[in-house]
Amino acid sequence: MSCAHTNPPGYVFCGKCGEALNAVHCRCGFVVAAGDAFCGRCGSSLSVETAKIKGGIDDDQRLDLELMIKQAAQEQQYTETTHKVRVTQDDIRKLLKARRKRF
Amino acid sequence: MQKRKVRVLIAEDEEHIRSLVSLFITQLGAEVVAEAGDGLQAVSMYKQHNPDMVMLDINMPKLDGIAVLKQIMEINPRALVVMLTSLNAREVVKECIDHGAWNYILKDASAEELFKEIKTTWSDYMTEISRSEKS
Repeated sequence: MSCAHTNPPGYVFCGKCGEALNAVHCRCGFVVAAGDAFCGRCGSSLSVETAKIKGGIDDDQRLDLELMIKQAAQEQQYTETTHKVRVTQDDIRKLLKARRKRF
Repeated sequence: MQKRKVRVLIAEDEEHIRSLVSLFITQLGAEVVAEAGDGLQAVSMYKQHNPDMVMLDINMPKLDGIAVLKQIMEINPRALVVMLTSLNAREVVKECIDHGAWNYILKDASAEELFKEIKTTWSDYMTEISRSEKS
């Protein structure tokens, strides 16, 4: 939890900052559901994340984790880029010209 | 012999756009045989009327235009389907073209451009058909 507020027993969310109590955070900052094996946002393996939280990870695990985070970031960037590309009617004409060979 | 009118199905959930497209189609000398307000209706009307051309919106209730396009192309792989939408993401355009849409017209065009685009679509399609029949 990000704030140091002490919450009474039975609280699911922090009474001060509203954050879910006992939430599992991925390294990317995303709050994942309890029991998930992978982060729903960046795809990192949460078992490695959990190991890191519980007591540190070795160098190999750290490199794997960094690689996974890098790959996930690249995939996310690609997805965002491809979905953000907007086309005009002229662009569409060019796309169509190349494809109209079906007869 | 009297030439048969081109029969068009318009699938569009917004009534004012449907009316505008219908007006253009009529002005081009074609006939609007059916108008669908959602995707399911569009597929059903396509089967019922077997139109020469379909003007198809993407964001529609019940079944989106891309799913409708796929179903129509399964029924008739040479169907003339023209997407008419405000979605201008390259991925969406490519998906529609890959699934056989003959044209993809953006709704942000002016009424004049829209009219011109529909007219060009039909003449291009007819040229392509006659070319394929000759070869």
